[in-house]
Amino acid sequence: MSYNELKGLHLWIVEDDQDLQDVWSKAMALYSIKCKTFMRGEDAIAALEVERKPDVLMCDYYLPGMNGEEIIKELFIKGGISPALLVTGKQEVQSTLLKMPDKLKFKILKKPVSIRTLLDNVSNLLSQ
Amino acid sequence: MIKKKSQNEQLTLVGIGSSAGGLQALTEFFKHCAALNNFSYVVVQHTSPNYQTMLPKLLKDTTKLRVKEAEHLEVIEEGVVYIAPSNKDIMLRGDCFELTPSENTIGPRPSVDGFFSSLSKTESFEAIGIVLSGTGNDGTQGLKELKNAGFLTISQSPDSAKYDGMPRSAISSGFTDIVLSPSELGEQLADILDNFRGLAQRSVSLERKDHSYNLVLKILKKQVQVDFSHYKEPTIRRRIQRRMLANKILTLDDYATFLTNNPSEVHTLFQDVLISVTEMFRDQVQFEELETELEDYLKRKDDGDTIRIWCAGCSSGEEAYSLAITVNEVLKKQNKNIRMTVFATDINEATMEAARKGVYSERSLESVKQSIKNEYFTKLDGHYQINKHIREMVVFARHDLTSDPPFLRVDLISCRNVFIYFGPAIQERITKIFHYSLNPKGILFLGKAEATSSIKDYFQPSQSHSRVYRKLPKKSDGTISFGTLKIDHQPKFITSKTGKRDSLKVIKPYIKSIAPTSLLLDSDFTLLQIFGSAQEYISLSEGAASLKLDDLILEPYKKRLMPALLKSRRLKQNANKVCISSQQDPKKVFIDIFYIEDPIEPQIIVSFSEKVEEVDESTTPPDSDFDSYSEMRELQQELLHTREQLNLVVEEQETSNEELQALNEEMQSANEELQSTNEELEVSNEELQSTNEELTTLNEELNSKSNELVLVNRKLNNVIETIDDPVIVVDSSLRLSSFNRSAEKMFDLKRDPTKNSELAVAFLKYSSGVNLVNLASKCLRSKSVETMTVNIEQRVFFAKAQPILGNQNEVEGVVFSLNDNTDLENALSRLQGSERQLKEIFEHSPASVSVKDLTGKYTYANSNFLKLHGKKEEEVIGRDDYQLFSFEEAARVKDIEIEALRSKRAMMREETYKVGERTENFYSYRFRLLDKDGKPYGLCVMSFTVTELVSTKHELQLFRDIVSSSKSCSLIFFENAEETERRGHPYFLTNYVSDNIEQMLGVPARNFVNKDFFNFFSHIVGRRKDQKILRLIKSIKNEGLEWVEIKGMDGEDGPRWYELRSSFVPGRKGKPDGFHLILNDITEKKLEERNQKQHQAEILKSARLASLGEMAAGISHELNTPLQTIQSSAELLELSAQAGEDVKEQALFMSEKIIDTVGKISGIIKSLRSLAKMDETLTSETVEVRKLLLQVKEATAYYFKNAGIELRFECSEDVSIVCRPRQIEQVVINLLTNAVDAVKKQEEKWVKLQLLNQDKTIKILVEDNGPGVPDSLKSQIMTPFFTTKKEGTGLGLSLTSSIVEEHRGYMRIDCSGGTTIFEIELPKECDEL
Repeated sequence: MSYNELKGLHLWIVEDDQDLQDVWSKAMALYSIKCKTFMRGEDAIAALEVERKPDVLMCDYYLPGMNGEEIIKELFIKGGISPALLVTGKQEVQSTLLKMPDKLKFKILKKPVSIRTLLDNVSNLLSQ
Repeated sequence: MIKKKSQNEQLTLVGIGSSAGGLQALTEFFKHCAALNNFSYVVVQHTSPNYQTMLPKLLKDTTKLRVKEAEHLEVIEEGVVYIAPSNKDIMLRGDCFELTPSENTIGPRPSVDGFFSSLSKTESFEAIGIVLSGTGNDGTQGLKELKNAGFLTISQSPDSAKYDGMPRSAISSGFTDIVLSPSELGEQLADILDNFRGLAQRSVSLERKDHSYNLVLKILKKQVQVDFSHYKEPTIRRRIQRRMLANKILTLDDYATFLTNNPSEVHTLFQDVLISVTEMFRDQVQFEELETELEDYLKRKDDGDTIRIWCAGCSSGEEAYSLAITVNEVLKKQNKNIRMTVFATDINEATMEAARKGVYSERSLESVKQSIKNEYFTKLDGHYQINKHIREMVVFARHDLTSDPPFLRVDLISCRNVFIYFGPAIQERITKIFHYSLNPKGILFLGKAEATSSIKDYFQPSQSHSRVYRKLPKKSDGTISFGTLKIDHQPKFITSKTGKRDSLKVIKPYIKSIAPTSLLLDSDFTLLQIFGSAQEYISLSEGAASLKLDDLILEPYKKRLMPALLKSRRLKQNANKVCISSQQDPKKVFIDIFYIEDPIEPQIIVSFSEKVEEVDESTTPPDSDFDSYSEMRELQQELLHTREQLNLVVEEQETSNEELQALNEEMQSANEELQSTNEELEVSNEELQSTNEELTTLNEELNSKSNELVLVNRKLNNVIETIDDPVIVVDSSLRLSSFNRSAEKMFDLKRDPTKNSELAVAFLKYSSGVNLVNLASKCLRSKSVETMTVNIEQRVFFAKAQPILGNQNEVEGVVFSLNDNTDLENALSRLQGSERQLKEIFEHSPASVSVKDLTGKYTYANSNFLKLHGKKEEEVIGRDDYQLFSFEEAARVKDIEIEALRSKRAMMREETYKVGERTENFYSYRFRLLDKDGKPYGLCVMSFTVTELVSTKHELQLFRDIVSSSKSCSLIFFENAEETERRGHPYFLTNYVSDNIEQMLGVPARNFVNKDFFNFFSHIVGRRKDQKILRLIKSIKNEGLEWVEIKGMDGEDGPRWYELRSSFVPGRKGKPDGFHLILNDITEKKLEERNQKQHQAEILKSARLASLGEMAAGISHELNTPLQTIQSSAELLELSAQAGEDVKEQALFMSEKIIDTVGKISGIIKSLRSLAKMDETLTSETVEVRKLLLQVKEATAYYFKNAGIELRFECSEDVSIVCRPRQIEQVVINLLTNAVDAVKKQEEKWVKLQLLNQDKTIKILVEDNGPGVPDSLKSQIMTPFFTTKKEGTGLGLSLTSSIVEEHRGYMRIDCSGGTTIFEIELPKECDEL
């Protein structure tokens, strides 16, 4: 799998676990995906003003401050960021329970999830 | 009178009044009646009020006209004969009849007068009034009114009437125009009316241009001096028509001519005219003038005086009564008590009869003021009658002014409209008579017609043109006489002539010179003067002294002289010499008579001269002839003289007769008064006679009474004698008057009254005599019965002195009676003793005692009774319960007492009465009191107040009821000190056990009473547990045990449990110690408690499991992230390797990451273990709280982190408590997770965990800045399964609080500081766990 279609893709990751951040940044680099990581959603929202908007967003659910759902909504509304992946260890979180804007391309993935699954989903979302 | 309707249309209504004999007259009338067109008849026939008149049927056949009975409000039609129904008065109102129930219950009904009166007012009809046969005078008054109104009036001729009373009355009243028999009347009625109408027609057509009318008035004015031109013309015209009708004259011109030729007709006309104005107070203005004059005049009269009034020409009396009323009004105004007599005279006696009755129609009273009407008139049957007191003042008498002598000394003469009947000469004479009759300044009241010029000579008008005159102080005209002979009224006083004597001096010598002996006489032949010696000719004869010559002159001269004198006086000339010679004495005496003329007092001188020889041939007749000649001449002269004297006497007698007549008239009127007085006297006489009879009867009765008295007296004496006790009667000076045998014996009295004259002496034989004398004198003074007790010879006597009172309440004597009282006295004193004793007993009895007689009246009440009811003895004795107490109380008591009176035994009752404001309870005993015959004569009531007793009883019962109805049993124990001493341990006996102990222990309460403490408790804890019971009682007595739970004997479901509450009451003032026990069976409660605990534990367990699940869910999530890291790292290695990259460096980096992550995971697992431990067995241990809290912090750290909430941990105290640490951990975790949930939505989120060390407790505070707990939820949040969250079991806080309670701690919520603080306070030591 080369995931060529993902090369050069801009990806924002909002994840409060530093280790996972590091691992995922390396993995994305492997596929030439430009990755920017944030510890908190608030930071990502603030970055909208200054940074290039990402093509895809990956976001944890339980975060200090805003939770993943809120962050995804906020970034879509303010920055039109879509698609977005919500990656959470909380089993109870289901897409049907969340109220996401219609135009937002959105998918929930449960931890632990393989990097391939991650990339497949990103690829799927982008190609929709 | 004549309306606008043409003559032909005018309906003539003929009113016919009849009474007895009326049917015959009516039949006759209608049979001949030709007046049919435009006529209707109303027959008013007197009938019996109870009798339906048959008249319509009877008359039907006599006439062609319709005959019917008149109906109320029936409109009058032409050609109908209406019959007035019986017992109704018929009136005419407009063109209808009005029938009213007859007002008049005495007079005849229906009233003819009433109908005629209403008919006279008609404006719709021509009217005719006819009076037919009948008795009485009904209809007369009516005719008068009809005539006054200008209608034709007709009467049946009295000779044709069966009963002529009514027609005669009508005719004599002068109000009848035509008199005819019924048949003539029937035939001619139409013609008569036509004639009447024709006159009216013409007179109307001529109207004002009528010179004849004015001519008639002129004639009237000329003849009667009354100007009628200002009178109502229609009235006058009607009068004239009437006269024309009566004289059958058709035109006024003819009538005027007729008048001119017949002066008498003028008066008739005038009279006719005046009739219309005959009424009470005619000419009001004149009466007012009279009143003013009277006021002035009457001022001179005083109380008791009399005022005499003469009403000359009173006619039907209106004038007389008007005068009487006027004078009476003035007298009233002046407040004078003056008797008034009014002589009302008239020449016509017929009208006087009506005048005496004083009944007048309403019309004639028109000008009478209402006030006068009310005061002086009584209304009867549509007419008015003058009240009796005025009628009595007026005396009616027949009197002819022209001939009869007047009433004298009158104060007021009224003569109005009378002079018209008289010529001027008579008028003047009457004027003079009035002047003569009146008292000085008397009043003359004249009418318009009395205008003779002569009046002013005698009277002065009070004002100019007034008809009220005052008598002028002028000498009455002496020439008037009341007969045909003029009487010389010149005074004949001698003294009046003395003045003239001076003139005699002149002629005296002259007289002497001619004839020495002369007599001067006045015209009455009274001797005035004597000249010379006249004793030869005159002498004073026996009898009354007189200066009349007739009496003085000697007999020989008298015969010749007197006729000569008379002749001389008559002829007013000197007489011839008269020669008189007596036969005894040869000398001749010549008498000369000289008539001295004087206009006032003619005098006569008689001269005597004696000529002895001187004989004149010429005058001396020859002797022989002389004698016979002179004799004859003398006789002739004497005859003449006698004749003259006779004439004189006759004339004088006539005068006397006339005077007598006048007196007679006065007598006559006085007689009327006397007659009425006589009647009164007769009545009085009758009364006296009956009184006399009564007196006779009374006398007879008295006689028999007297006989009875004698008998009674005899009986009395015998009675006194038979009395065993001494009886003595004394008089007022204490002298013995009678006594009986017993007294005689006792006091040694003698039957001989002379020896017993002094009572004192008789009594003084004994020492007590003094007392008796004193008693007697006391009785005399007090005039009432006096008693005393005296001892005579060892016996006790009850002495009684009774006064004998006379009519004037004076004491005439005293009766003594002495009763031997010894036995009675002894019995009485014994009785008094026992009575006193009894009374003492009653008075000091605690009960209230009262005795009533059979009528319910109190005869005795003791002091307690009086005190209880707050009354005084005198208020109670003699009254009954109804007077003393309220009706209800008394009525209730009455029934009970009647029962008690019937009952043989004393009746006991418990009663409740209101005594004043309080309600008191009594035990009352009622028993009847019997007299010696065994008959009840009274009722004794003894009452004990038991109010407190009863209320205590009630309270006790209430207490018992309350205790019994509660589940708790109550017991009271008292210590038996002796036994305690003896046994060496507290020994209590049961004093009271509530009844419900039976339910609890199955043993009746009475089994426990007065048993010892052990006995009772053995029923609870079982036998042979005395040590345990002793411990219990000791702890109650000594340690004051208040509450304890006791495990009792086993029951069906295991042991019974009892709760015991005790209160110890130490004995005071020698009373034993006691205590009160309250015993509750709490077995059920215990069981329930145990069940509840089990249930709670189950809940707790499930709650813990649930919270474990929650925790596990969180942990699983937490684990997923490191797992992700590991997975991703491994995958990255794999991917890198696949990509052919150098993974060595990568691998190092990744493995390091994996190892770190694994460490993390093991930490999480570790904390998971600690949670798992919570379910371990709950054991208490001493725990460092800070450490415990740190563990909690760690276990929940991830939770806070995930939620992004800051946990402020402020636990620095080092303190240990005994607790179940897992449970406490769970409490804190619960609170923290709650706090996290609470703050999640806040902008700034924090939770603070705090530990506070206190004296015996610690406090763990969990504070958050969430919105807090609403007050409404505070009470609910602790209950299981209550939650406000979407997720969660709702067990959190209830679990928490149950754990805290298990640790004997408290949990509170405080939201007051803007934050929410859950505070848990736990004791450091806790035994119960």
